[in-house]
Amino acid sequence: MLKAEAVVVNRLGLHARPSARLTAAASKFRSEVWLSKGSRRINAKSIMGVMMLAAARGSTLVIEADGPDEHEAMEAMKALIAGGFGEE
Amino acid sequence: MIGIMVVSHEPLGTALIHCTRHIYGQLPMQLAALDVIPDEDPEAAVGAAHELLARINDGSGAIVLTDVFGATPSRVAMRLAVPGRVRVLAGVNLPMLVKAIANRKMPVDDLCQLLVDSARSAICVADTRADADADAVPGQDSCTDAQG
Repeated sequence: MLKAEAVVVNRLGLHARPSARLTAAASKFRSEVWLSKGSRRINAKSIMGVMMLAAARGSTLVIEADGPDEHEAMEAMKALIAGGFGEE
Repeated sequence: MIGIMVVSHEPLGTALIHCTRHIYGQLPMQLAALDVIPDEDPEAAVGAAHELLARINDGSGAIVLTDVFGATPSRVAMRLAVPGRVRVLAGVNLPMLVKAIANRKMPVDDLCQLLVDSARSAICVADTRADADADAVPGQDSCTDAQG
């Protein structure tokens, strides 16, 4: 099981469109992927779960990946969040 | 892939499916809305609904989402039901629609139950989450995770 932190950098935070992108990316992996913000921990493959984190710019997310392709899943999640989901 | 159709009072269905463009950047496939117009002949609406449903159902089944149970659009929607193939859910909202779009490759009956649970958990007192890093206020019906 891998665990890492990532900070939301894009201006609008983890709003609807990035949530759709994140869940689509997480769903490509066989591993379980979880995101936490504070005490709230959700399945990163659940679009409503991700959206309801209500993670604004500057929020720190904890990413957990567990499974056969956990390294790839972790890298994909970190890249997506650090890249601001392709937004400014 | 499960087809999704919103049957509602005009203009809710069209507006709801257009909202999904914001999220996905384009209109998702096999998604349609039938806006029922006030004073429309319900039989004409049923005919139009069957026609539209046939266009978005590739044989995998469909979910029909309607707004107020008991109102005319819901009665039109219920006429489309086929056990195990086409299921009808009332109380449509945007979280329910988004959840449906994200989970279209499971048996229709399973999706039906997932949507009921998920849409319920998306209704919450949001202002208790102003600081979402803090724990939810005990005893408050605040937003919780929508699994699946």
